[in-house]
Amino acid sequence: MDLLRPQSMSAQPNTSTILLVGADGLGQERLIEALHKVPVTFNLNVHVAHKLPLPEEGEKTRRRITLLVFLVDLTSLHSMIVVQDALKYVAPEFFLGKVFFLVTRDKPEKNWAVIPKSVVNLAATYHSPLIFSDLQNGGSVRIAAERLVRILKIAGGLIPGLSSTQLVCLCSPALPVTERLMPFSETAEEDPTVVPLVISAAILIFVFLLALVLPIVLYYSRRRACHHPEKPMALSPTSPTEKPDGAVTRLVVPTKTLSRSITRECQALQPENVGLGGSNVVVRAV
Amino acid sequence: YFCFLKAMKSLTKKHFHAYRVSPLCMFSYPRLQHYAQMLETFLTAEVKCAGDPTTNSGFHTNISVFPGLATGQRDPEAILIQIFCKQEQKRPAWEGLLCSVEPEPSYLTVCMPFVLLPLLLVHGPKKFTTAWKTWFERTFDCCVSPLVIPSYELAWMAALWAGAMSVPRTLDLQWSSPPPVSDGLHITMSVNRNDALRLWDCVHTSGEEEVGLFKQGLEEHIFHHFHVILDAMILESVSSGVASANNSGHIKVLFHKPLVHILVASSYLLDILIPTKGS
Repeated sequence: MDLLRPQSMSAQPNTSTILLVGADGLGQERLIEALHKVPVTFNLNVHVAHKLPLPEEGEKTRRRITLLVFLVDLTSLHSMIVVQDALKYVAPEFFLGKVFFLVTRDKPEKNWAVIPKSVVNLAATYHSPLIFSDLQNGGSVRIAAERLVRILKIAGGLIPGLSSTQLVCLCSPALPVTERLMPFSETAEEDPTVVPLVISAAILIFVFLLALVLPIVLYYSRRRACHHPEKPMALSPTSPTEKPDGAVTRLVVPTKTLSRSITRECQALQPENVGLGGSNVVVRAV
Repeated sequence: YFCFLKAMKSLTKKHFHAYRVSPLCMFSYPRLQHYAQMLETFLTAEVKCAGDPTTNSGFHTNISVFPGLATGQRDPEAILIQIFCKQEQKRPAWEGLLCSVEPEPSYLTVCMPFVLLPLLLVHGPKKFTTAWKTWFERTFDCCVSPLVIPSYELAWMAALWAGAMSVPRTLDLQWSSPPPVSDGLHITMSVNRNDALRLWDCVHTSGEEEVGLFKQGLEEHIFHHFHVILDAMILESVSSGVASANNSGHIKVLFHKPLVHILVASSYLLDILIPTKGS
């Protein structure tokens, strides 16, 4: 397929892969050597691509990519264009901490063909870290490789307690104060598992409040001999598939007001009628 | 007006090296004559220390205000420094022009007793430059470093000069090979003046960024014929009928009219680049 996705291939145990994307001749060989020299406890694979999308021939045997590194050469506008074109073929899930920008040949300044501010802004737009490194200098390459491996460990989930999305919140480059590119940068990054939890918590609160309001309404309804059929439907969650599996929705109903109409309501709340699919509705009299 | 024009013309057709100067401390305009005398004594002392009897023993220096270049609101007047050898009184052996031509507002805003004249154009032999530089840095506690013009600025200048050319001269662009390729491959492209004008006019009508399109047009032409990606090479120098500029900061202006614009463009560079250590 066209887009490069982080979860397209299955993960292999104790392996991580870096994909270096950039034009030819930037010094990728030295970076690869330095990456292999960093002492790690897992298998580290480095792949190189000169453009995206990746060719379709190796699609089946391709490894899952843990970290995507874009190489930009400040003396070559061509390398910047290659990276800009490649960024179009990267799925948005990658930008949660799995993308890194590396800029080379930043000295001497007279050879600049790319305005450095534009590269910094590009990295800031994609909320990804950026470092300047001279790939011809051994010490500089070693430092860059060590930094990449550290971020790779986080992106691959090998460091307990720190995820790549948390890292993105902590160390992505800040935008300059005078320029605000898009409001996207001002919203906080949210962990993907937080959203359904928030929704289910809201539903529980709503259900609880309704359970308090229910007897009063029924009391008046018995007087007026009126039936409200839409109540059970109001309790169905907006997106049942996002709820974690095995969640139990509890309806706490006070004993005093337990009556035939209420039991009828509770039966209406059974999963088959409402469509909560997979989760149990337990009615417990308190 | 005529002396202004004459002064401007005196700047044309000379090969200048561009430098950037940090703000000058305790520089005052009424004391220019005093500074000239100080420079004279310094230079004679330097020559005596060097102990070379064949060189001229006497120098005459002149520091004066150069009118007409301070076009911005807060720009201080430009200073022209000339060193004459004793034998030749008419033509200066070395000339330096310190000016401030509308530097970017985000650049330093200096207050008294500092004076900001960030752009320095030097014409003359290197030995005078080094001698003058030591004296200047010591006297005014500043730092003089070479100004480099990066490739993207050169491309911008090339596009603008192509549109402004009125002299039948070709637009020459020279590229050099990127650092990994050790054996230098130099590509020189000479564009006929009419063709360059036509390309510039076409670029104006399309509505997108003009300079980028102009550059892209030239590069695609080369790619089409020779399959060489000029984007990956370093643009070293640009020369046209109007002016010529080099990567290492050599500027030569052939007409007095665009002089101020070129100086403004050079001042713009001062904002972007930070001087490197040891330069």
